[in-house]
Formats: sequence, C-alpha cells, structure tokens
Amino acid sequence: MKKITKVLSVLLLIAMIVSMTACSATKVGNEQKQSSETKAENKEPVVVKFPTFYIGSNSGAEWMKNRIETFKEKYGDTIDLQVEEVPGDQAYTDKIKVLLSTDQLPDVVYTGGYNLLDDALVRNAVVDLTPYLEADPEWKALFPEEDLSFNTRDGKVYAIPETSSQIGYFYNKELFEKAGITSPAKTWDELFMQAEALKQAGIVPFAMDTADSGWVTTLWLNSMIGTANEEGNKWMNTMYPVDYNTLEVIEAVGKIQKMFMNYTTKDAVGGKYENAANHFFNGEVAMIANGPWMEADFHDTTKAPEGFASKVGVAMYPNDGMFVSPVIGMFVASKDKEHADAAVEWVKWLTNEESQLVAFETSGRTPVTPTLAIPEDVREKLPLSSQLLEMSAKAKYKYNYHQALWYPNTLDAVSAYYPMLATGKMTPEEFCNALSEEAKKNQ
Amino acid sequence: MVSYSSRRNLFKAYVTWFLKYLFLLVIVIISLFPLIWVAMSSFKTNNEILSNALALPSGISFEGYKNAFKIIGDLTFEAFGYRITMQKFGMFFLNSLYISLGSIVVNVLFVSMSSYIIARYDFKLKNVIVTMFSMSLLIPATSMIHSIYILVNRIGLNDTRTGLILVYSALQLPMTLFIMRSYFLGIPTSLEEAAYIDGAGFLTTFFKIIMPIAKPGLATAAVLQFLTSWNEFLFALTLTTKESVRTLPLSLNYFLSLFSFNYTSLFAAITMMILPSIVAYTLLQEQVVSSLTAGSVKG
Repeated sequence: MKKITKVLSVLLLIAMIVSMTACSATKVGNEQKQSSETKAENKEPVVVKFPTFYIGSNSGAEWMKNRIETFKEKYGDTIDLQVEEVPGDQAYTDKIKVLLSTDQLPDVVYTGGYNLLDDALVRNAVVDLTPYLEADPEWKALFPEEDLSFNTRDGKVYAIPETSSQIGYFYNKELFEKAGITSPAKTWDELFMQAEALKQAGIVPFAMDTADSGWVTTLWLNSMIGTANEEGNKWMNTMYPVDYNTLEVIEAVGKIQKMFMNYTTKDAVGGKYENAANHFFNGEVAMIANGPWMEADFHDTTKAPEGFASKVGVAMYPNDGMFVSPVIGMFVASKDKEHADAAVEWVKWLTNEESQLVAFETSGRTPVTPTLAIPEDVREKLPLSSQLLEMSAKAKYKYNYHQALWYPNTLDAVSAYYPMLATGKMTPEEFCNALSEEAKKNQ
Repeated sequence: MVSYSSRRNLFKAYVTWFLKYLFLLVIVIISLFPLIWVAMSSFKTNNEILSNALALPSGISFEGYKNAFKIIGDLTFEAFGYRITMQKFGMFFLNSLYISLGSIVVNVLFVSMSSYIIARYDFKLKNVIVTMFSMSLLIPATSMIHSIYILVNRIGLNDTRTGLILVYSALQLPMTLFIMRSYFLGIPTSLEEAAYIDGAGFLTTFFKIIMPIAKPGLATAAVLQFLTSWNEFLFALTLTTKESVRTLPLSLNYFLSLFSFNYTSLFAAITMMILPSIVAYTLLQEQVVSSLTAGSVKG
C-alpha cells in the first residue's frame, strides 16, 4: 500500500509540473534566418528599454499591450522596444530607485503618477524634451500649458504626460432614493445631512479605508481642504507641504474623524481599498471616492452583481470641487542622442491622440488633451467617465491628491495614525501635528 | 471493587489523553487552516472572498485557475533551433526550483566546509572572522541591494539564474555557518581521531565520517536556505529583467495592483505553487524525519 501511495504521489507530482510547464515548439525556419541575415546587412534597430507595471490585472494592462503591439508593427525594423514586466506599482518604483542610484535607468521611465522625476533630475539623468516638443508643434499642441508646466524644471520640459487626474465620487442611486436623497450634495453640511439620512435608513454612507495611505478616505480629506477656501485650495496644490497645522486641514481632519466614528463600516479601520470597494459593489455603502478607472469594475460580475453599473452615479465634491490636476509624465533617461531620439518616438506613441483614446476606452484614464473627441459609442460604454470629463470644466475648486503631493513618509504616517484618529485616541490637532513632524524630517 | 487510587490514575490517563489530542488538534488546525482556506478561496469569486472570507464557495469554478495563466501570460523564446512557447507561470516555477536547489548545494556544501574548519581548528583572526559573520546576521538584506546590484553587474551575472544562486547562497551564509559550527562543535573529536588512526585522510574523514553524522544540521540549513530562495522577492525583481529567468514570488504581484485586484486568480496561483511542494514532502518525509532524528542518539 505504501509503495502504491508513493508511485501515485510521484505520478501526481509529474502531472502537476508538466501541466504548469507545458509548452509548444516550432522549428525556426530558414526564412527567419534569412530575414535576420538581411537585418544584419542593414543597420541594427536601436534598442529602447522600457519597464512597465501595466501588466497582469492592472487596469492599464490592455492599453499598454495595445501600444506595444502597434508600435512594434510600425517601428519594429528601426527600433527594438525591449519591455520589462515589473509586477506591482510599488515594486516598479523600488526598482527604478535602485536603477537610478546605480546610474542604470532604462531609456523611458513611466512615472505613473509617482514623483520619480525630481530624484532623477538631481542626478542629471533626464533628457531635456523641450527641443523635441519645439520640433513637433502638432505633438506639443496636444498638451495644455498647465500640464507641461507641471513637468517643467528651470524652464525645460523633462516629462510628458498622457493622462491627467480627474477624480470625483461615485454614489449608489438606489440607496440614495431609499434614503430620500434626490441629488448629490452641494455643500459639506448638506453631505453630512445626507449621511445622517442614510444612516437613519439603515445604510452605511461612506466607504473608507486606512491602509496604504487610506486612498479613498484621504480623497475625502483632500477635497474638504481643497474646497474650504482659497487658502485651502492653495494648500491642496502645494508640492511637499510641511505644515499640516492650518485651520483648513485641522477642520477637515475633524470631519474625517466624524465620518470614521459615525458613518462608515466597522472594517474601515485597518481596511484596504479592496474592502472599501467591495462594500460599494455589494450595495452596502452609498458613496465611494475614486477615479474613473473604477467604472470598468462596475461591469465585472466577479466583483459586482449583474446590472450594478446602471445603479451608479458620479458627482463632483461639495462646493463644486474636483481633483483636476496634471500628473508627472514619463521621461527619457537615455545616455546618447541616438537612443534618446528612439525613446522619444516611443513617448510620442504613448502620448498621441490614438493612445489617449485607447487608454480612455479600455481603462477610463482621462486624456490629457482637453479637446480630444470621444466617439459616441465610447461615451455610451463609459458614461460615468464621460460625465466626469464634462464636470471637470465646471469645477470651481480644482486640486491635486496626496500621493502626488506629499512626502512618502507622510503618506506612511497617514496609514499609521488613521486608526488612532478613528478610535478617538488622537485628536485632529494631534493628527495634524504628527504629520507635520513627519514631513519636517525631509528637510 | 476498583480502588480510589486506580480510579484516580484512570482519570489522569483520560485527561492526559484528551489534552494531548486537543493540543495536536490545535496544531493541525493552525497548520492546515491557511492552506485549506487558500485552496477553498481559489474557487470563490472576488466578491465572495471579500464579503465573507470563511464561507464555503457557492460553486466549484476553475475560472480562477484559467485566469491565473491568462493574466500572467505566456513566454516565447528560441532554444536549440526551436521557437518554444510556454506558460510564464511554469517557467517561473522551474526557475524557482532550479535556483533554490542550486543555492542549497552551493551554500550547504561550501559553508559546511568552512564551519568545520572554524569549529575544529585554531588560527589567527578566527574570532574576528566568526564575529564578522555573526554581525552580518544583523544587516537587513534590503540595505545591501544597491551594492549587490553593482557587484552582480560588474561580474556579468546580472539577469542570470547563476547570479541569483550566488546572491541567495551569500544571504543565508551567516545562518548556515552559525548552525553548522554549533553542530560540529557537538560532535566528539574521538570519532575523527579514530578515523585518522585507521588511515583516513582529512577529506575522507570530513565527507565519510563527519558529514553523515551532521545530517540533521545539514537538513536544517538546507530547509532554511530553500525557504529563503523560494520566497525571496526583492533581489529577484532587481537583479532580473528577462521573464525567462524570473522566479515564482514575482508572479503573485501580477494579480494585485493599486486599484485592481483579482484574489481568485491570486489564490489559484498560490495553490498551484504550494501543491508540488506538499506532494514532494509527502514523498520524502520519511527521509527528512529520519535525517532529523538520525544523530539524536550518539555513542
């Protein structure tokens, strides 16, 4: 019996390994050998190295795959685009930082909203893209002045974005109706009155989280600060703030504490984005702050019930506020002109109108070109993202979000202190003071 | 008539039996629960996993497994005149296996030799060397990433499996030295003296007398080396670029990203990762257990 068990185990092990590693093989034909000989006679394609985290389950994976395939079709003979898959956003930034410290940056670095540009500039590792923009006015015209300025240092443009940030919040129309709410709140007081009405109707008002810098929670915080008044709006557009002890920030943190204590789910403290999103998909909470990329999940039946997308509305934040801000784009770090020229062709391919349209259609990424014509069938496929595009022009207060503006150690501190704020162990003043102390360590 | 003391002894025996099996049951549950939970969750949808983590799946669906292969994708490369296409997941698995086994051989073989010298012989700076290796246990691996990246690049082993084998062997070197030195110190010198008297040389004594006795220590060092190599993420990410040399821990990140998640496929991938290890242990458990207890009774 023992021997039979052993034999069966060996067979099972072999079967498992074979099923995982099964492959197919075709002989490399003479035609291909001749093609490579022909290539050798002509000039070798210029190698452009490009790592990306838009792979796997990332919402931008389909867009990136499309861009790579179409670029290779058009430029394959002259430019050899070598794509490195780096799974995970954080893993990507960690790897870029190591490559930067060893002076081995790839030809094109896609920052994905993280500020890698300034660190690279300190080491003189970035190519000035201003001459390339001047030489191609059609390409330059795609980008609003504000977006290019955001990527300019000392009068030179160093990075090019293919998207901009436009974030509102989503709400469940059915739950709103159940609580007698007819439209999204126009003021913060009205929002809290709506929260109370939802609570009375047995509905949790807000999806919130604290882990990973508390993304959905901090979007509410950023909006409260950014729409408070002109000073608050200016603060919410300041890169690397050091003083969090302003009136607007303290007041906003107080409101966040109230939301944690009264108007959210029990697992918000310690919860991640996935937990907050899942509550919204299940119809357990009425509102969630997030960007247009979430719209695709409303149609995903492994995450949300069939027909959920039709129950969702999108709104600006109270006081007509919205995240409408430029992002740090992609930059070129090639060491010679030949590679830089080839790298810029890839950057142009990623930022042209066709690319922006594909990005919007496949992942709801907001185009950077404000005049980009969105076809009607795409608008019908992504009604919420299309509405956000229209709303952004009407927003009175426009501001950026914490991940683009705050020091990394301050973002970590937010996750650490949110649970204490949520349970009343920390006052809003203490919370703001703690963030200020963290931010000051960078000076 | 059963005496009071007999009844008391019987009661004690029952209580001991009960507590013994209760303790074993707790250990079994703690050990098995995560594995069973991961395997069970691989049949649930994302919604089911996040809504009620402990509930049974509503149905048995292999979509997670199919999607796991689809999300990671496949890899095409040329070898021996053929263009080969295979699942990346499978390639990552084979790489992890090769690198883990390779680092075990390198680490355990070479470090056991140096541990033996340190344990048995006195030489200048011996204490300095031992202290240096012990202190390196305190250095976090992530703080060395920059220097190791430069070094591996300079010797031309960047983006190779050999590079990873050497790095992983080096990372675990202090721990293996510590384990093996302690073990060799516990082996009586009379065994080696007897071997020398019988005409055995240094290498014969080491490989034929000392190493068999040190099997439990070697097994411990090998297991720790395997765990380090199998689970390591940061160096695998930084020191490799080509998918053909990447390892299994990197594959798990394909399923999670800032605003996207696919726990079903993630758990399916984890289940596929751990199943071969469980089956392999089932096959070899007799050897592992007997090796662990082989040297426990000396003399």
